[in-house]
Amino acid sequence: MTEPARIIADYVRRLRWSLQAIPCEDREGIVREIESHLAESLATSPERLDASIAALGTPHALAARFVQEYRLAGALGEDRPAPLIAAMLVRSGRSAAAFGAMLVAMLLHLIALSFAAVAIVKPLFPSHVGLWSLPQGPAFGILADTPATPEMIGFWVLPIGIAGALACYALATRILRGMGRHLLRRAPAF
Amino acid sequence: MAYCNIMRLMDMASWQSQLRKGAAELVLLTVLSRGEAYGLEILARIRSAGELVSEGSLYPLLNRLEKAGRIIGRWDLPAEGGNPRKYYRLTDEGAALAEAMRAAWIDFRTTITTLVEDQP
Repeated sequence: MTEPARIIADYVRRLRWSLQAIPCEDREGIVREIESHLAESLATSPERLDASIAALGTPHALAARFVQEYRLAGALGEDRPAPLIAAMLVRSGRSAAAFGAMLVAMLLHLIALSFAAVAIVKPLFPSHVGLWSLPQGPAFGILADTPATPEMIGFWVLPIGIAGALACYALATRILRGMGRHLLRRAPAF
Repeated sequence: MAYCNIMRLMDMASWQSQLRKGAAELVLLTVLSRGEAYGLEILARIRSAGELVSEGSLYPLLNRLEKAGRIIGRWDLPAEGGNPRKYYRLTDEGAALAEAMRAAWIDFRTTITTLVEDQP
C-alpha cells in the first residue's frame, strides 16, 4: 500500500470507529462517501489529499458533526421512545415546544404503564381491579380497599388495559416524532 | 488593550461563522437546484462563489438534508472501475424549500441593505 493510500485507509478506519453511535447501514454509507471523496482528491494530487484531510478535520471531529445532526434525524426513523426522548432532551434547552412535547410524552408513557399494570394485576387480584360506580364518581384501576358496590366490567378490564397502554404509547411516540420532524425542519445548518 | 483586540477578533470570527452556518443550507439547495451533483462537484460550484461551506461541514449537512427528505442521493459506480460517486438531487419538497428560502433571503437582504449599508 502506498503512503497516501495508507493515509486514506487509516482515516476511514478511524472515522468508522468514531461513528459507532450511528446505525450500521448509514454508517457504511457515510464512510464510503468520505472514502470516495479522499480517493478522488488523491487522484487529483497528493497535495489535494492533504488539503482535503485538513478541511475535513480529524476523523473524530468529523464523526461528531455527523452524530450531532443524526441524533434528531436518525431517531425519527425508529419507534423506540428512548432515543426520541434523548434527542428531545438535547433540544429542550433551546425550545419550549420540545420541552413541552417531552413532558407530555413522558406523562403518556406513565399512563400507558398504569393501563398495563391494570391488565397485569387483574388475574392476580381480580377483586381489586376494575371499574366501580362510587357515590363520588366512577373509579377505574387498582384499589387497595375493594368498594362495597359491585365491580362493573369483570375481565373486560384486560383488553381495555392492554388497548389503553398501546394507545397511550402510540400517541406519545407520535407526538415525539411529530415534534422531532418540526424541529428538524427548523434546525439551522451549521 | 491587546486582550480587547483579541476578544473583538474572536467575536467577529464567531459571528462570521454563525452567518456562514445560516447560509449553508440555502447555498447547498440553490447549488443542487441547478442539477444533480456529487460532493466534490458541489464544493467546486460553491467555491466558485467564495468559501461558504467547508468539506468538513458539507457531508454532515448533505446527510441531514437527505434524512429530512429534502435531497435524495444515488450511488454511481463507473463501469470502467473508477471511483464510486454519490450524486444528490433535490426532492420536490427540497425544490419548494429552496424557492421559499430564496424569497426569504431576498426580503432579508433588502431589509439589511436598507438598515446597514444605506446609512448616511
